[in-house]
Amino acid sequence: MKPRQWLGLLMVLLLGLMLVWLAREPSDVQSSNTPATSLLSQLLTDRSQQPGWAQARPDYRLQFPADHLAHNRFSIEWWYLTANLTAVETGEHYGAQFTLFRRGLAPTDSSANRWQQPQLYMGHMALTDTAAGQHRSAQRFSRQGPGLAGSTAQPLAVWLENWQLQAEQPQQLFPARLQAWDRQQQFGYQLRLTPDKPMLLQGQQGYSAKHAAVGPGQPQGASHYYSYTRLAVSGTLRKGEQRIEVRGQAWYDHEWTSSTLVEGQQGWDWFALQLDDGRDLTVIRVRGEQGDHWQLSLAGPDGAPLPVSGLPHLTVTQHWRSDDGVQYPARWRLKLAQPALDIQIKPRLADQEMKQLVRYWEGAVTVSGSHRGQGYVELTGYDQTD
Amino acid sequence: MMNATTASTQQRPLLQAHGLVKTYLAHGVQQSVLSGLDLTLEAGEIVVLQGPSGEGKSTLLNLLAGLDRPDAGEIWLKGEDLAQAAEARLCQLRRQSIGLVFQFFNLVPTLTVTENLQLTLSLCQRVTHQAEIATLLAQVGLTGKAAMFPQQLSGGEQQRVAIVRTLLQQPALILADEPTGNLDRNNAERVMALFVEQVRQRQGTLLLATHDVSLTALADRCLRLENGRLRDD
Amino acid sequence: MTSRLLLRASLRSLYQQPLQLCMLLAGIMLGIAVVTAMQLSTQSARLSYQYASQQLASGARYQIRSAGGIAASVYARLKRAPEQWPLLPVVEFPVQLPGGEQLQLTGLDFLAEQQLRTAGQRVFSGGGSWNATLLQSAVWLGESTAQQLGLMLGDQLTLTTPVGERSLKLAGTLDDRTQPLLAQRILMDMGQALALSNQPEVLSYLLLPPPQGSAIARWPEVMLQKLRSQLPPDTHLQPLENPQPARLGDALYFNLNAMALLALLLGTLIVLSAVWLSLLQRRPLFAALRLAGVSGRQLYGFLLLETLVLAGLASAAGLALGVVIADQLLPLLVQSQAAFTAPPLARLSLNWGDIIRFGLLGCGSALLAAAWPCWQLARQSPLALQAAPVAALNEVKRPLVLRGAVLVLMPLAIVLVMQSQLLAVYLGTGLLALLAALLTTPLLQGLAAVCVVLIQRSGVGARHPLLLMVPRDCLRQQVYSKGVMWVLMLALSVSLAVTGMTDSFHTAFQGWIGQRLNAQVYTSPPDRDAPGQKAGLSTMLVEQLLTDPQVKAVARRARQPLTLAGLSLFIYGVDFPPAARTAYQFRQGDSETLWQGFQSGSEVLISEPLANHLQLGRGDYLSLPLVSGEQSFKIAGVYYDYGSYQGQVLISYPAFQRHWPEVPLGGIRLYLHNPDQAESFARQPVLKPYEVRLAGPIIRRSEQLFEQTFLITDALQLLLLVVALVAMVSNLLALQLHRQPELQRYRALGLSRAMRAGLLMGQALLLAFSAGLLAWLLGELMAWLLAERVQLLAFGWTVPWQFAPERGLIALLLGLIVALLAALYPAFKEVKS
Repeated sequence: MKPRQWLGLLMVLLLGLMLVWLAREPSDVQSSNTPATSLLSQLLTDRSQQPGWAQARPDYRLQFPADHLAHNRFSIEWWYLTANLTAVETGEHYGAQFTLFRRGLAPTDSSANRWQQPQLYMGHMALTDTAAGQHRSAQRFSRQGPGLAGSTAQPLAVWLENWQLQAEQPQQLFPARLQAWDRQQQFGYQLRLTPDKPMLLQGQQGYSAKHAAVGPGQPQGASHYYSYTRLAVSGTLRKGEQRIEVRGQAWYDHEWTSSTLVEGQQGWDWFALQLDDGRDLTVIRVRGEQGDHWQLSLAGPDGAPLPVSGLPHLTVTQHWRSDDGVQYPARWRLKLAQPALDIQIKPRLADQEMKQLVRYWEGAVTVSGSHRGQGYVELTGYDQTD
Repeated sequence: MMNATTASTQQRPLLQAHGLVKTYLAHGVQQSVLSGLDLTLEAGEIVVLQGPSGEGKSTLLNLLAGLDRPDAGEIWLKGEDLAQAAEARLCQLRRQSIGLVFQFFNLVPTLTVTENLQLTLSLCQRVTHQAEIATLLAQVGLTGKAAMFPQQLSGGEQQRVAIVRTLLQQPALILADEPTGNLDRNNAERVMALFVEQVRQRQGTLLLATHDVSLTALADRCLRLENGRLRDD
Repeated sequence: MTSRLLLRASLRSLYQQPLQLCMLLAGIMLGIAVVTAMQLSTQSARLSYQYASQQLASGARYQIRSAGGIAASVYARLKRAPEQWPLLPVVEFPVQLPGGEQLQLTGLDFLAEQQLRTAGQRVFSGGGSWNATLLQSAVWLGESTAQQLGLMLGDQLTLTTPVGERSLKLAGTLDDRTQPLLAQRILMDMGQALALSNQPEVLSYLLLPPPQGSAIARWPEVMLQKLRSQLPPDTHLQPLENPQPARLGDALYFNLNAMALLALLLGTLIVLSAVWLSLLQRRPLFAALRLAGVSGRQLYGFLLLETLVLAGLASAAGLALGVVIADQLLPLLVQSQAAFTAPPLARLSLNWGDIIRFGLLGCGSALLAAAWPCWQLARQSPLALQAAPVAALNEVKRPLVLRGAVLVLMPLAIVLVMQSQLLAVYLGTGLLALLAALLTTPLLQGLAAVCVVLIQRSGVGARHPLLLMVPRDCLRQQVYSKGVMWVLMLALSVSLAVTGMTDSFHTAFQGWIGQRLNAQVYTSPPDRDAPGQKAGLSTMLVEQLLTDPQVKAVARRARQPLTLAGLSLFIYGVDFPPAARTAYQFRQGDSETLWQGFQSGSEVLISEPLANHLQLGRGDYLSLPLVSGEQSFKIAGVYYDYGSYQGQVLISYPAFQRHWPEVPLGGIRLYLHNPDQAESFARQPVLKPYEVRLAGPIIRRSEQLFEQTFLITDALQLLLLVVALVAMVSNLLALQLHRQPELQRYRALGLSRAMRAGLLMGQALLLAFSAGLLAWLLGELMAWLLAERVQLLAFGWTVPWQFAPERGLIALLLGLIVALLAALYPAFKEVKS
């Protein structure tokens, strides 16, 4: 072939190659199904003592309504609501849990950019359907951002997206409305909470130590903590399309700290018990290698704190094992000297485990024995011990 | 060139034209070129058609070749009226029965000599071996030019190719319009002598339009076109 | 054998005349290139938005966009809504690497659960810590980009951002080998990204993934309606498959499509012209073939085959050129939408389907264009083919055919353009263009004759006979110059039509927005950072404002979504104090009666697009779906509106409140006694808690948006003219080549080089003038069609056509300049020869 013909052929080939290259299709973006939530869980359970965080102080006096709001100088905080509810029509029992956690990522917020405010909120919601033997839970998280989550006054509210606890009146937290709905699990509630008793400051005027006092320079492991131990609840539960009118009683906690547990402590067992005689008992056992640390409080029928003395005697009489082998205590016997109590605490349902980013057991319980009543129990740190 | 049927049609002239009329519109004026022309051609005869330029020789040949249509009159070629035939039929006739030689050769400029001949053969669906083509080309003195393009040949050589092309067709009638018009005197004589000789060998019929008087010596009959009509010369 | 020889003969002919071959191929190539460029760039722009969104949330089918972006507070409010909208925020803007290369910086909320599972997962599998992500200036880059830049993890990377140069740490890489769309992105956490944008409270858009996190499930229409009702007025929920960033954007894309169709017509004409010319130049060859015995039918078939083969080659080249042009056009197109949304990284999207489509288009249009001239040539007798196609000076070829064509096509075209289907209107427009093409020759003859008369009568002809040669030679060569006239005429008329349509639309739009925004202050409820705020404005505010002596009138407004005849639109409850009434222009009807009817609450006003869609008018009844059931309302009037082509319904505010008592007051318009005090009034303490906007800035912004949006049409018009110029150059060159023997004779007669060059340029100017006059007529006609027919049928709104003589004059002048430029090279060749 002559040179011109070769050139012509070469041009045709080049043209063809160019067209082939041009016609390559963009590949579709693959979405990953592997959750990155392990990273989040690392974040939330980080126990490192970063300098700069505020620490709970025994001489700090809680002030309201300001202390209903978030304390961003502390690294961890939660607003916790648990409730035992009865369906008005059927009398069936339901347990409800609503928790908003705040995790501070840095002790100070130097940025004017609201998206960079170093607060991460996580929400947990659960519904125990005792009659059906079902426990559903849902998790949500978000940064504080431009109003995505947080707390505010005027009126008082704390929220994470559409999970909202909102006061009805200015300056006081209760009465309040709680609304939460999870689209994926198709459950939620709209409840109205009115206080049957005034607020109870836990520990020493709201200063709650989580272990015995240690020498200066060593972390205390304490928080600021107050509760509304008895709130009357009315409202609606939603399960799918079903709406169930309910009544009941709830317990509200708000706690903030920069150090939940110290070295050697694995977790805690927390009992919030509403006795039929009108008294409300809080028992917290922080489990540690060097022994347990106890905190107790008792509110009288009028809400006034009552004395509690002596160490409780808590025996686990039954255990429950989850599908993947984590074992939780599932029944207790609690004996106290003052007040004189000898009660059995039994979960309404064995499986009330919260298998979310953070794993713990939180469930509705009944109280029997020397006194009757109901309440909620929380067990943490059992997934790490085997 | 003559085939078996020719003997049986010898009684009838090969071509007969009656009352041919042809006019042209030029700058809004009707110009009459042929006014009731009659012509008869017998098979095997060589006829020279003379007349000054612009008289209508080319027009007459175009009509006889079916390249143009008369305004009036008939043209019978082997019992078929060309004036009424469809274009497709005329095209077929030009391939098989009518051979044309032009003043400007009309070779396909982008085909070689051999390819020009092959084109003609394929159009008239004749199979001819390369040897026959080579012999023909040798006969007209074009050995070694088979692979050349027309523009590489001289005028005389191109005309000889055109002649060979026509001869290969083996047409019943050959029409030549000023075939030497573009050749010098020596070339013209040589080419025409060759042409006529080849036609006679094949017992073909040739109508040759020319204003070159010297070519009349080659003809069996001479005709003169004047005022739109033919007369014997 | 015959076909092989024919092919050989023909190809050698082209091969031996490479300029001829190039011009033929170039003609087809240009025609295909212009169509490819336009269609590909428009298509890719649409897909770029889609891909951009899909990258970030695979399976997301909807996005929420607004002119100027979405306020972060709006996003937060939507996230706090009871419905749990799983919206994902995105911020995007271009940044530059030190070498000048542009990347798309994308800010995502890594802590939003769903985003974490898609983009965020990629981020963290590449390595990264939370603090770095959220609190420090950390970025994730495509692996190949990082390699190109020679960066390792932990290195600093300097970027030019909207807030200036910033040094950022490379915290990780993204796998862009399997996901090439990530190659040009830089991912950052939202907070960080916003800090680098110059609008820290504004998001580019929101994505709405499918419900339940499944790619298959779709949002029910009732939920989408609900979401729409929660959006601010100028924010839209759009499907990703057909993203049209905004209403103005809709109009733009539509007009671009119209331009693309006209470009197709132009492309076909260019191909026709090229084929025509090539056939003319090879007449002697075809004559020889015909004389050798090739039949007309054989020749026709062969010519079509040859055209197909050449068209195939030229289409491939045209496609490649079109891709190159589209690549340049695409950023411009996307940028023109930048007013509405952060432009995604524009990426040309071409697949085999497109290649086949454009290839077929090229071959098809070449065949279509070649069919008639090839037929014309093949049916000519061999003798006619031998003769040069020089026309007699005063002869009109086949006058009967021409008259017949005009008589038949003209009424047909008129009938078609008056139909109510867009396709018919487009066909009619095409016919009109064809008619104009047919009229080029008679017009040229007329003009040439007029020139001859003028030159002779003025006596100039006697002194300078060369001047007489200009018009006469034009006529003699008209067969050769037909093609160039068609191309120039259509290019100019398309350009004129688009300008005319855009100008008309601009005038209508400006008039509308000026009228509509006749209040001085616009107040709407703010988006708060926390739940617990009552939505809407309080009635107390209205009462307070009414007592203010500066306030002349207060007009309340609320809205509710509705579905009418399959359209999702809004019904607005509106007050119309007298000051507000001038904001609306009505198609017909006496204002007094109209307003009385409206104020009664039993009559409604509807916008023109809705009226056209529902085929309703003043006096008809419209059935509205109320909570209590369907209710009929009389239509008091139909008003002109360019704000929404879905349509709007207006009802008096008191009537609205009765039917939809739960819908809060969405906004108020304030009319002041002294409009100049608007700014100071807006700063009053009573308005402080609310979102306050003044009319002036809104109007100015909308002007800006309009300008930006239609910038692209200027670029496209330029493209068309450049294409026409190139086609003209090749055509005039061919003409000059063809006329070489003649020009040599002129030379022998004593005409100087300058004279001969002048002759060529003079002819080009006369051709261009003739084409330009026709283009003026056709262009304005097409502008009228685009404005008053096409817009009406496509969007339902009337855009009154505005005639502006300077437009046509400019087009004419442009044509003359193009012709001069096109004739320069051939004239230069003549001078040098």
